[in-house]
Amino acid sequence: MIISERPDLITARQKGLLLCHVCQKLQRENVDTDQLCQRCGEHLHFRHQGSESKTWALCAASAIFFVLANVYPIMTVVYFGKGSPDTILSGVITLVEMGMIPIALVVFIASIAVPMLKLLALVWLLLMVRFNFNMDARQCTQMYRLVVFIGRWSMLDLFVIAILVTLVDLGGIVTISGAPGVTYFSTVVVLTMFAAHTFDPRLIWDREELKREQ
Amino acid sequence: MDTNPLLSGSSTLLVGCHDCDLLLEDTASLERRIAFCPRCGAVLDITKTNSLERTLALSVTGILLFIPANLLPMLTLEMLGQSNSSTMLSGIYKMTLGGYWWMSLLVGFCSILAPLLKLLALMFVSAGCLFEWNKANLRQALKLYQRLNEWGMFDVYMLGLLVAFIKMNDLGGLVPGVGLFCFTSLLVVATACGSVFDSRLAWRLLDPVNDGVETQ
Repeated sequence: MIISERPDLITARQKGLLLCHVCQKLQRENVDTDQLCQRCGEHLHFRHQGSESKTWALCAASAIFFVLANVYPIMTVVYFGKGSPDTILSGVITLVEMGMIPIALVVFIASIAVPMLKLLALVWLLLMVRFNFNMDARQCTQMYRLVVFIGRWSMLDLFVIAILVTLVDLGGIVTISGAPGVTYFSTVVVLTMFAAHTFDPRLIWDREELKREQ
Repeated sequence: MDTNPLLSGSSTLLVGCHDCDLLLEDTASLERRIAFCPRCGAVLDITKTNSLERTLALSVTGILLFIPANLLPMLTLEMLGQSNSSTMLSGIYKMTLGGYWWMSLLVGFCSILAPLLKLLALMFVSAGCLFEWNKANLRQALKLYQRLNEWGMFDVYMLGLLVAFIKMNDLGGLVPGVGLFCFTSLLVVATACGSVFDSRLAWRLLDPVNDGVETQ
């Protein structure tokens, strides 16, 4: 650790300094209502604007789409004229029945566990920030980083479907095609990724400071 | 490049932690370090050796590999005398034909457009910093790169290929194509390119005013 710790634990905001969230440049606050970053031209704010309400809204929307994505089939396999639509979960169960446990686990983690854990973690963080739970801020920040990191892996199932659709197109023998669930699932991926980004982890630490002052 | 005061020598600057907003005094030399936030553990700075030169070399390699990786067949399924190949573009095309344009848009963006733009932006930024091109354009490119960073999903696509491969392996003969080897190399090169790129260094070099807030 080379950057030295200031003994008084002062935040940039307390000193009237704004940190650009794009290029990380620290700059003094102007009294102007709309301040742009001197370096990259991005709008500057002490915290993401409307972070809590935007994240709540995105979480709620993705929860709805997540239910729809699991109810509707995402893929149809037509084998010798006999079609069977597969939902995300039934696809995983089929894989287990075929004995492909590791692949079933990968698909389950990426398409069901990751979006669900992500939503739960974000809601937990939002509640913690709002109701001042007595939680370790460092651990919460680590959880937030994990949420941001794992989010992209939910795209896995969509990539698999895009690959299978072209690969398995053998006329009357076997054909795989998409089903309406993919649209909902795509929306879940996009919304949860946006939700992770609108949440401002600095809100976790703002609570810490209030606690110390009390 | 060694004579540039932004690259070598020590500086006393104030920096802010992007995850917990802690204000810190950066007193150490910028050479060879990994700096963490003492309060929340965020990585504040990792310096890389010859970052710009390596980024330029790897991004040019990546862009060259991009063409065969996208156009040549990755996997071919042979079954009862019929065969079918899959390229990166054909999956997107098929899903659009099936009416799932929103999904194909997302898949196309994450597996082709975003990674390509990321490589192009890195090539432009690293070349521009080395040869001192117009800074305003370079800043725009660097911003674009940072925006797209998370949306380039070659690694996830690779896992998708693996899952598809194992799923279909007992259905018929699956033959990996040249495209798959190009894509694997592309994944390695693109990942390496992202990890040798030092965005803090690039921002320091592209700063129109000066670096950071003075300590007083």
